[in-house]
Amino acid sequence: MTGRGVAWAESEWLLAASVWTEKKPGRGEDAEPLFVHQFSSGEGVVGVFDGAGGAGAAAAGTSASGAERTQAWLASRFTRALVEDWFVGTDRVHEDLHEHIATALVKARGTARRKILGTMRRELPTTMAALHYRWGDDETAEWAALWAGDSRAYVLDAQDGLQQVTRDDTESSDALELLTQDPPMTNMVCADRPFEVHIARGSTKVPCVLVCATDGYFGYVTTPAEFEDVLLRTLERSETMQQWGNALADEVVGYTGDDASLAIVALGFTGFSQLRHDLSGRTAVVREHAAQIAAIAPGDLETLTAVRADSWARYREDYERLMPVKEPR
Amino acid sequence: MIGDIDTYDPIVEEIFPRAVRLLDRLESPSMDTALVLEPMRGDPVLVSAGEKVPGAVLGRYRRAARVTLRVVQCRFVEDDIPTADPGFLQRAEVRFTCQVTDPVEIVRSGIRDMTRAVQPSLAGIMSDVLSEFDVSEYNTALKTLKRELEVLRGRGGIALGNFHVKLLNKSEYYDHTRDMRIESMRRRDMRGVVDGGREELIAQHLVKHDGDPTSLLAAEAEAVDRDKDRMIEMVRISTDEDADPVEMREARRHVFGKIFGDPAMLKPPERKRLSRRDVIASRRDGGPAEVTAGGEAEPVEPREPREVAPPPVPEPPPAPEKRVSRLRGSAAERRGR
Repeated sequence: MTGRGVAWAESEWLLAASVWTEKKPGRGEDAEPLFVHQFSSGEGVVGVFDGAGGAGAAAAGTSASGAERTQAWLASRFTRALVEDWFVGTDRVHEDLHEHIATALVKARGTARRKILGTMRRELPTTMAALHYRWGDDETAEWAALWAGDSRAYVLDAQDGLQQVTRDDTESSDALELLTQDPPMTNMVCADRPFEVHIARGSTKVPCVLVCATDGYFGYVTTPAEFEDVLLRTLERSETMQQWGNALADEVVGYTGDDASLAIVALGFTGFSQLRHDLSGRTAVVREHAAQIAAIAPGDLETLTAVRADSWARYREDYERLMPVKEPR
Repeated sequence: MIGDIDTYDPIVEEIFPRAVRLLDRLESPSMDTALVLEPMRGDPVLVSAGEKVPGAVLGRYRRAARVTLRVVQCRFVEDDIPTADPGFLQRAEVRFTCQVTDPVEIVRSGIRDMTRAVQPSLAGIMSDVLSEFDVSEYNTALKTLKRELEVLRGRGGIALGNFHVKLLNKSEYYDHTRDMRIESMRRRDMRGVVDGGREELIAQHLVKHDGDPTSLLAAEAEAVDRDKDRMIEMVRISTDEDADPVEMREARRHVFGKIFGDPAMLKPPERKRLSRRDVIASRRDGGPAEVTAGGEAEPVEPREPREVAPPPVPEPPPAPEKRVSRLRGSAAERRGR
């Protein structure tokens, strides 16, 4: 087991890459990212799944090759397969996805069931963040974000930059606060308790980039803007989707403390050169945020806190422009 | 009162379908919309993306509405929000995201302008919060307002969130506060300079002029010259026979004061303002009216020529005590006697 994988696709008007790295080779709890595109309908689905290692640390069984697998490991892969199945084998009604996953997990529970579970333990727990998109010949692409937990989906465009289109299942939704505090999740996919698959719908002018990522990518940076900087910095030095995928894998292992997976779909670009050219205008914007952080002397926490807050205050409005609203109680 | 506004219509399409729709069947909604069908009788039917439309060709529907489910950023500017200071009204710009959570409810309530639909309740919260705070409590007011808005999630099929509030009159407040602070700081600093006496003032002057004493020395020399000139002028006046006696007396006082350092000499004597009766008495005595310093002479009424018997030859009156007239020109008159 290598501990990392990169897959890519380049077609007319459609570019895609998925990146997957493991902290401990062979034991990563992130599933390989999902990407399926149907050319006839112009629809596709892209998603990431992060098995919850703490709550799902219990053993789930042994693989055919003899490797022990945790509940978290199994849950992320299983849920990935279920989302793919929902896309390929159903009418793709978003409201049905929850039932599709929940029913299958309860069935699967029998095989991976443990006798004693504490309140902190969950059966087959995982996060999911997926984007179901449709782009015909129109100038806009429709999308629906489907998520549970703290993995995220984004829309990236040349005008407003990276915009989060999911809302973490945590008490706070402030991206900077989440970076510094890592609060517990209030909802995730699992087999033994009720959970919710949130749905947020939108449309975005094409060309645009859709991104899904687990917290291994966005949870170990200094400011929310730095994640966009990682995406654009690696894009800038790449010539193809394959190179961009590899650059993203190289970059993330340098700063993350977790398994990390990320999937990208670029719609409406004539090729990689146009993608890189169109997004180059954003590079200067996010580079300024990164430069301010880089200029702080090591150990100067007071300045770091102030600069970080200032960066977030300036970055936040566009970043949250498409963020769904917390549902009324 | 609402000012500038960004809004949207949540009902993107409204159709009144014919009874039979062979060629224009009702289509399933797109991914970011929901279709609400209002039958002739009974409850509305909600159709989500991917779901088949019941009775797409033959269904009897009074109305069909497509409702957007997108997250949309809205904005409005609220003018004339009261604060704790009755003389200061606040303006605030509120940005927030808005999302339809119940398309049926939106169609039922007929909302076609989302921002205007939610503005009254948001404006009410802003008014309640800001009226508690003085203009000087800008930061606390803003924090409280954001906290109150964050709690608000929406209702009636609408969810609200991601609030960004900007108080637009803050620059006025900041300008005022900054000016006050700068003035206060200057006063505090200058008080130290003044308390330090002459040496501190000289030091301050040198600081302000990069240690160059030229202008200070020049100013001092100029002051000495002015003083000398004035002294010479005073001496001249005090010895000039043609000078106005008043000026002469003042000049003497000044010169004596300078030479002998007697402050009493410098101080003009207290002078009693003459009452009208004193003036009349003085006139009766034949003396000219006297005026108070800085005042005008009481007018001396011309004496009526009276026909009287030739007066007896009087004894020569005693020489009147020589009085210094304070009326201009009287000195020359006296000289002519």
